[in-house]
Amino acid sequence: MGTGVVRPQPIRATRPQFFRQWRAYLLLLPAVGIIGLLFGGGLVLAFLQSIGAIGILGAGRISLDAYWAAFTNPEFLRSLGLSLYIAIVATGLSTILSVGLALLLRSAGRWASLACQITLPIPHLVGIVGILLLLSPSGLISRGFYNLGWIQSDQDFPLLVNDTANIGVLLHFLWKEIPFVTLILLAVLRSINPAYEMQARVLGASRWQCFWNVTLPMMKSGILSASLIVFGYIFASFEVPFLLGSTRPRTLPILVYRAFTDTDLTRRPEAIALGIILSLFSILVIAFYSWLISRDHKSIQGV
Amino acid sequence: MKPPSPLPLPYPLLSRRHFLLLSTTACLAILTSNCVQQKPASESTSLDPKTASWDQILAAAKGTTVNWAMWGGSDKTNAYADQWVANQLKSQYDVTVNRVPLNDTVEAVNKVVGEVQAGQTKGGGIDLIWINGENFRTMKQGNLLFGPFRDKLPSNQYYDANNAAVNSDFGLPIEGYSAPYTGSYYVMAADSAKVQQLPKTFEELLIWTKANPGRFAYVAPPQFDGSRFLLTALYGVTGGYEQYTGAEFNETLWNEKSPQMFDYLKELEPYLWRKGETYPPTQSRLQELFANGEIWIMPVFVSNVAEGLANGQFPKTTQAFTMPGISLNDPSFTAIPINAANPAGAMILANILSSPEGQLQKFKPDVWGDPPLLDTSKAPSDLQAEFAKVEAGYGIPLQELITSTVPVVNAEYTTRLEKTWEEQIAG
Repeated sequence: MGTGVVRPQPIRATRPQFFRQWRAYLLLLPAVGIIGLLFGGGLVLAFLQSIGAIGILGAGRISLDAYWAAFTNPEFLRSLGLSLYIAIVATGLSTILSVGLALLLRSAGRWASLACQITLPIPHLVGIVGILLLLSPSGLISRGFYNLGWIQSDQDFPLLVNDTANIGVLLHFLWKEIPFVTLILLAVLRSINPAYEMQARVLGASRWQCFWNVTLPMMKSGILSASLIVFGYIFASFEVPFLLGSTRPRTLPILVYRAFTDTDLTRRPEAIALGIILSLFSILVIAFYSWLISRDHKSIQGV
Repeated sequence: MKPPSPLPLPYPLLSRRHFLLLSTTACLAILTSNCVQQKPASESTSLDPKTASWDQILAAAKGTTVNWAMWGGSDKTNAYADQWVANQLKSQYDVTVNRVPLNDTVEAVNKVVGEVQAGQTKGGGIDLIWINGENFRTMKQGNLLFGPFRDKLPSNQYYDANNAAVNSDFGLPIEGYSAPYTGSYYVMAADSAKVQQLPKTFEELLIWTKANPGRFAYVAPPQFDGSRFLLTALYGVTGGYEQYTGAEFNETLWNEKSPQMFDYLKELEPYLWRKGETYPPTQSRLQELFANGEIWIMPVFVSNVAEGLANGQFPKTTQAFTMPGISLNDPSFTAIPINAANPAGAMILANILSSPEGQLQKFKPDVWGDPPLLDTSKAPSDLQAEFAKVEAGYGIPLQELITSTVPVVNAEYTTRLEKTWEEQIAG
């Protein structure tokens, strides 16, 4: 509540003063209201359905059966594991590769940022079709190999889509996310004062020491926030693992979709419970990340 | 939240508590105002289509729009709805069709359930749903259907009142709650350039697949087409469909017979496309595999074969064939949700779809290629000749489709098949 400046105020001035005071929040209100209503309201309604408070079948009997059913579903743990595997590997790889790429492109001109933006407007579905055309056993690469005589039939080509290791899914996410993370990191790198690094080099630090002890710590918050966005997106992504992923296990969002579109209406509370568990998990990850970032800021300010 | 610099802000900060309070109040206010405002904005017409005459229904629907929710995964079916059906409705009855495309029919069921749950018992967003099987059962079970309305439709005279295929849906009596639409037949397709002898039983299919590893595949259930394959396998492996007929699911029979069928699928799996490590996720992917020559035999709806041949996606040597007593006769219907905003318009649309003209148009391979469901011998004589003409160029005789296919049984079998498949076969 620190207004900073204290001065006697004439009574008549309260209204503009009041407006000025609240202006920032009033301006925020439409955006926050929409998010709060659609997301928060939806979440509340979903929770009520999942415990059976509302619903077309068995309404009125409140219980946590749906959550129990979701947790004891043997599929749940496998799906959670797969979702985490895809999200962690794809986020990790794209972050590491993007850091390298950003450092390489650091001194490049504006074209580098522009080039990184090329993949941004391409929808995921288009990317999926591209991956299928290229990597499927009868795809372009396989046909090329066949014509070169490297493989005898389409059955010799390794399975890279809908495979159990989800290579197709990972490749798609790398293609989509590396330019995105690089773009953010380039902006971060450009805002870093090069004097720190020069100083370190002058004082005898090797290139690696300079990167590890000076550049990387300064990029850290950028890396964390970019990878948070990527992780959150991949973890909850539906269409990519649905079309490119393995038949089984399936990722958590697909499990939710399957349960929700099950023609057996009695499975709906379980579907909604799964969805809420998925949301809670994402929120926990975000909370952990923001804690990491804020701790980071404090330590920098403390220096 | 103290600003790092001592510079004065253009406006002072407020406490977080006030802000949270304000936004929560706003949200709650909007929520409550929404809940209070439950009365439908548009007063529905005083006409009750259940008791009204057909002329009154026509008059009530004039100038209205019908929201038709239908699976939208095929350009041909979409074009049929958008062009021929929409034109007929517009020119004959002054009714506009608004096609609501779905990825899966259950989405429409979900929408109606959601609306009814939210108290919207009138003026719902969907007037007519292309539906059958499990979804029909769900809606009938939940009292979510408008009707009975079928005997109001003039087209009803062209259907055989004793034909089980049009009067029950997965063993469940329709009782006038849906109108006939498509006559889908789930059969097999093979590239005859690569397959010398067509497998007519599941035993022959296993022998062929073992001899040609990696050249047969089916869609991963519970995707619709994959579930259909499981049902044919149940019929084909455990000795015919007759034992599963009847409106109710037979638990004892299921426990006795289903293990044989899953043993069969386990034996088949190593010889499937990619050794069964993965399954095509959608029917369109399965058909791509077939078109690219990765697989040589696939289970498929006969209209997809007609479509693929007509547009050149499939090789010219593609041949559709039935497995007698195993291949499915899987008709589908149109039904009106209980909260439809325009039931009169929906009935007119349902009538067009089941009329001889509509059934004929849909049958033409360059339009859609979907076989008629009506009894062609009851159709007006000039149209009978037209039906015969289309049939001659269809590639597979209609009579073979009708006589050698069998109905789909109680949906619970399909549900169990999907569940057990996931537990035992996948992953």
